[in-house]
Amino acid sequence: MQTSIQLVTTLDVAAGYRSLVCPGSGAINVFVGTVRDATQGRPVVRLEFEAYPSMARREMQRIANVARTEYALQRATIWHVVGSKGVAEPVVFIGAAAPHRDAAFRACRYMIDTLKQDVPIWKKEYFTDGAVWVNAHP
Amino acid sequence: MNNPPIRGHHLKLLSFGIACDITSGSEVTLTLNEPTTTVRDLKAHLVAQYPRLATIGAFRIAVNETFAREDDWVQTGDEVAIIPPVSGG
Repeated sequence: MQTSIQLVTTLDVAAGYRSLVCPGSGAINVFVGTVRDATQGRPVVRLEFEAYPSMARREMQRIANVARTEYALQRATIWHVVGSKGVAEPVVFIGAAAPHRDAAFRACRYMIDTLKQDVPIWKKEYFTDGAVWVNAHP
Repeated sequence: MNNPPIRGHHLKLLSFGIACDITSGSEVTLTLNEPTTTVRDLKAHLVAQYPRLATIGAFRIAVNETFAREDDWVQTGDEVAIIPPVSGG
């Protein structure tokens, strides 16, 4: 079982796919999160991502390890960007490789949902007339 | 003649996202009365010092890169961080 955990300034989706390829896996499932151009009708210009890097990597590794055990994966990849990203750019890459598709689908869902709860990364949305930290207020 | 001992115990805190805006810096030094404190007391201390922390979504405390429970102990020398609601992905 191999895992790949990275914080990057530019996300290479093709390289993410290559990190998952292995002979025993008949299913590779990939989720890519990208910058959406609006939030509740308000145009978004860009997003800025900040991380607590050492802890973010540690949490991403923990999530990949749990996914490996729970879904019997052969490969798991979690990459996330830091810095400024424009509309439509990829910001998170989640991938799972398993013998069959069901485990690969479910593992991806688990990894992105848990990342969104527990990995110390924050995004700030920049609008034409201001900026807000996402999820900061209840 | 020796210098008098420095009063209080200093704790270095990392601060991110909106918490960094509230504490006006990514690294904050806190002065505690005791060399150790619980996470619960540390959070109360932080809210007293930075009242705007009470207006954001519940923040967590990480100790040495791991989420801490309310009853966990923090001591000077630990790497402690304020973790406001995360929003990666």
